[in-house]
Amino acid sequence: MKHVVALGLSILLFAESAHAVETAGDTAVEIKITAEIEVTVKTADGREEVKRMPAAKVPPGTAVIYTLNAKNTSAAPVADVVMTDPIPAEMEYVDGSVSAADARVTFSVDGGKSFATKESLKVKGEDGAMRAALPADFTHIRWQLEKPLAPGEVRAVSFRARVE
Amino acid sequence: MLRHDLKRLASSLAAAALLWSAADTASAVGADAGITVSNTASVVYTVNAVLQPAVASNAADFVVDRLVDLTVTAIGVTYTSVTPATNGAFLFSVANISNATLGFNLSAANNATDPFGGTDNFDPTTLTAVVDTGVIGTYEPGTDVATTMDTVAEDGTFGVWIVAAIPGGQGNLDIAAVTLTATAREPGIGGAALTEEVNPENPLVMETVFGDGAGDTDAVQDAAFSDSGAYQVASADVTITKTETLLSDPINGAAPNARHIPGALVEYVVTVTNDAGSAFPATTLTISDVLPGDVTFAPDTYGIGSGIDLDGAPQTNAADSPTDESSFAAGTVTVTVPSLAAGASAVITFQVTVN
Repeated sequence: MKHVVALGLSILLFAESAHAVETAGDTAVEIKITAEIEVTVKTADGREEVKRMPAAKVPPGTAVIYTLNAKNTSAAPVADVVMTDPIPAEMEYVDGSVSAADARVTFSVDGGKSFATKESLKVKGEDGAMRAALPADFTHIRWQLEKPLAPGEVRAVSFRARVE
Repeated sequence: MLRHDLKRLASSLAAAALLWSAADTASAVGADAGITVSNTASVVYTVNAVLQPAVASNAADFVVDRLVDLTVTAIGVTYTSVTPATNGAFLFSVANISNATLGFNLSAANNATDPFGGTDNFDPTTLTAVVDTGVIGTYEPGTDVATTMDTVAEDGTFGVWIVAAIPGGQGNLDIAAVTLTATAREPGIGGAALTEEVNPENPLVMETVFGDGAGDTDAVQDAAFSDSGAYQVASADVTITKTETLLSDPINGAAPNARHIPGALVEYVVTVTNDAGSAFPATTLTISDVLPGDVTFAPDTYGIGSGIDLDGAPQTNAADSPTDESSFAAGTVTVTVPSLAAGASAVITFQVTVN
């Protein structure tokens, strides 16, 4: 049985609908994403050290660290930078793992249609009543950077999600 | 799950299919091995307060690895009772709790530790591990013959019998403990052994990771699991004793003056007992007593031609079944007892004279 994999195509939903998605290169901002895992390795002197590696060994249960890098590649400052990332369908957000320095972080529980703070999100529970959203309910994470990006500046944000 | 439905909806819509994809149930053990998990971020921004087109990132892709995990569980909660010289069967359950379809090899071994707290004190003659097919939960010798399970889907379980040949004459309540080890392997007939890549580097290749625990006799993360069961022999425990009493001699007369001199009369009492703890009656017991050459069987102790007493009933010396099942011939007293219940005894009495 194969899962239907939610590809990056879903960004169409949360991108401002009037604007088409363009490929990086001829734009003022580039965004890159990496998927990494933490592995504990033994150093030569026998100590254990946690290292980040590309997400190559990823059985169910593994926490993957997604890091988004937004870079201003233009000669002018850019403002109102909003980064959005869907949490893959096969993964579950690790509570409290989002980095939020200089950014307002909001979550979506409706496939990226609307975003709100974690505390204010509610979903319909199995009994039909509304309940507070759990990390497993989150479908997207959004970072609204509080400061403009100067020319050449890179801003990184990250979160962790676990393979179900 | 709501979130999954929403995500699938998003994905379907985004793909402009505008159709619901076929209902897709998530596996209980998590993401399936081999699927690609893709993640593409996006960014929007303003330049001089003018909103710019959204920009998509690269796709951060990785393939979910194969997490090999399995359990073996003894289904029987106590001994399988088995009579000597027959086969006993003990049932186990094997579960594939990996995120992939796997095949399984099975092996049965003797174990010195009784999982039910008794003392293992013998090994069956042969042990065979076979898959429980046909009527599930019933060992069928002609049907349950497969010694491997070639294809088990994730979350699939199957039963395995360890069939043990119990030696003839094995004592009542004797215990033999056995262990079933199931080892995961590639699915399909004759699937290859699994190997684990410790430090993979390519996110887009499905690796194999061992996530199994340690069973009774296997180690953690070895793609194998084991559990133990035991057989207890249900038999009849028969003992035989013989006593001798000097009755009289031709010179000194009756006991206690009598001596073991030629012509002395001696009574033998042979007692055959089926132990009270026996699981079964002992049946068709044949008791033979070859008399020494220095004594002569007294042929008429209990009547003419009747020198043997069985539980108070005179027996003829002739081999004349069905009158009785006792005889004296060629210097040998032979008595047949049809059945001895647990705790019962048969007492055989006869007399001889010293030559």
